[in-house]
Amino acid sequence: MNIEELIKEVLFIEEGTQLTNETGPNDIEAWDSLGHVDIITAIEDEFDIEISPEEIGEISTIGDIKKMLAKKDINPE
Amino acid sequence: MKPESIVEGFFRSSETQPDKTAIIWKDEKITYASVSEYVRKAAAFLKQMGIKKGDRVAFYGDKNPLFAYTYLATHLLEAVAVPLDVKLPEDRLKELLIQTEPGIVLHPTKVDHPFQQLPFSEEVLLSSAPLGDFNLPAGGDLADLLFTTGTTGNAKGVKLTQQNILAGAVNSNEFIGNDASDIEIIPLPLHHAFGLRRLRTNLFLGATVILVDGFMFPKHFFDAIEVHAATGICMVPSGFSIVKKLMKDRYIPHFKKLKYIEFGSAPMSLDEKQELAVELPKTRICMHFGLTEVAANILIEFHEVGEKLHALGKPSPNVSVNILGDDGEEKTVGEIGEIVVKGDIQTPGYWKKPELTQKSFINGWFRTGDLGYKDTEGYVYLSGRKDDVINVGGKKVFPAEIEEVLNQHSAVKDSAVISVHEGGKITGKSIKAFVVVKGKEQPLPKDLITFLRGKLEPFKIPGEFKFISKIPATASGKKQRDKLK
Repeated sequence: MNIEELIKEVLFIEEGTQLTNETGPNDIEAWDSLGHVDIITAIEDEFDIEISPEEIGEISTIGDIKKMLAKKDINPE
Repeated sequence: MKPESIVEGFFRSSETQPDKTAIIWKDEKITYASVSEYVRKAAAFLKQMGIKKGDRVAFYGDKNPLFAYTYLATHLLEAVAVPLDVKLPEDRLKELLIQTEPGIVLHPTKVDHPFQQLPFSEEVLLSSAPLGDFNLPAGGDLADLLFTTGTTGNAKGVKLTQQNILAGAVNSNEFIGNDASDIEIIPLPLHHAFGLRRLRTNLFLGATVILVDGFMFPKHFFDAIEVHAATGICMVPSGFSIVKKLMKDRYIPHFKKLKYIEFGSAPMSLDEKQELAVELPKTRICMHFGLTEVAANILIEFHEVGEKLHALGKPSPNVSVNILGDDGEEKTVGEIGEIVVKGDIQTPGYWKKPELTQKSFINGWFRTGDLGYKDTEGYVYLSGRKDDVINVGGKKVFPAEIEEVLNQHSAVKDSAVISVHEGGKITGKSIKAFVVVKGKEQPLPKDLITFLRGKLEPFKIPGEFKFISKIPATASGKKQRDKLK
C-alpha cells in the first residue's frame, strides 16, 4: 500500500480525492491532531518501524513522510 | 475596588504595565499597551457599525490576537460576544446566526443570512481611530453566548454574564495559584469554553499568553517553554495523549519546567494521572470538572489527593456542589445522585430556551446532568452521564465503568458502551460495546467476555461487540455515545 492510500484509509478520505506530496493538515479536515497520531501509528504498524519524536517533528506533509521512510530505506511506492 | 469585569481588569493591567507582553503569537510579541489600543480600535469600528449594549457580535473563533481584540472590544461596548467554531459547517453556522440575530457577523466565509457581515480581518476591524469614551460593563450584563456541541436543530447557546466569566477566572486562579508573572501556553481553540476562560483569565491578571496551534506539533510548545520561559499550559487529556504518543517521554524534561498545568473538559485515565504525578513532582497539576454553564466547578491537584486520584476533586473556591435526587432531596455520603452546582459561575440559562432553562435548575442549583457521589471528606466522584445510564433489569449501569475495564484488555485501544434497547430488559444483552483495537488483530468477543468476567458483575458484561475505527468524540474529547445508537 502506498502512503496516499494508507492516509485515505486511516482518515476515511473519499475515493477520488487527490493527495500529493504537498498535502498536509491544512488541506484535509480529518488531518487534525488525532488524525496525525493515527497516521503515525498506521505507518509504524504498516512498515513495522518506530518513528522517533525527532522524525515526527519533521513531518508536516505527505512528502515529509516519504522522506522519513526513504531514510529508513523504505520505498512504499 | 475590585474590577467588575474581565475587560476592566485587562485595562487596569494595561495602565499599570503597558510595556509588558500580553500576547505572543508566532514571532510577534504584543504589549499590553498595543492590545489596549487594538481593542479600542476594534470597539470604535464596531460602534460605527451600529453595535450597542446588548447586541450580539458573532465572530470567527480563529486562534490569533485579533480574536482577543474583538472579544474584549465587544465587552467594551457592553455587547455580547458569540465566538464561532472555525470548523462549523455552513448550515450549522446559519442556524446559530438565525438563533442569535447578531448585529454583525465577522467571518471569512460569506454565508446567505440577513445580518450585516464583514470579513474577520485586521484591515476591517482595526481601521478606525481608538475609541475614547466608553462605559465598562456591569457584572450583571450579558457577556458571552457560547454554543455547546449539539446536532443540527439542537444548538444551545449558554448565556454567561460578566460576573460569571469573572468568577470563572478568579476561582480557578485561586486554586491554581497563577498570577501576573506567569506565561501560559494556550494550545486550545478559543471559541471553546476552556480555551476562552484561560485567555480571559490571563489577560485579566496581566499575565502573558502564548497562542499555539493545537497539539499536532508538540515541538511548538516545547519551544515556547524553552524560548519564552513559559510557566503554565492548559490542555485537554486527549491533547496530552497526543503529545505522549508523538514525543514519548521527551515531554518530561520540558513539562518539568512548568509551574502549573490545567487539564479539563474530558476525563483522564488513572494511569496518565499517576504518570504525571510521578514525572512532574514540582508542577501543580490541576484538573477541572466543569461545563460551559458552570465553569471549572470542581478542581483537583494530582499531588495533593493521595489515593483519591480517581475523584473529580472538591468544589472550587467560592462554589458549592451538591448531590441531589430527582426529587431535589440531598443524597447522603456514598449515594449516587445528580451533581448540582451553585455560585457566581452559574449561567442564568440558555438563549431563547426558557423551557430548557427551567429544567436545568432545581432549587437554585444548576443541574449538570452528570451523576456522582461524595465521600466523607467532601471529594466528589463521577459515576456517569445521566443520559448515558443503562438500565438492566432495574439496575443502573454506568458505561464509563465498563469501558474502563474493557480498555485494560491488551488488544483494546478505546471503547464506548451503550444501551441497545428501550425500557430496561433483564438480560445483559441490552449492553453493546463498540471497540477500537490497538493493532490489526481483532480479539474474539468471547475472549473479551472472558476478560470482563470476574472484573465486572455479570449483568454489566456486554452481550454484543462491534469493532469500529474511532469512537465519536467532541473536539474536546468527550465521548458521543448517542452517535453510536
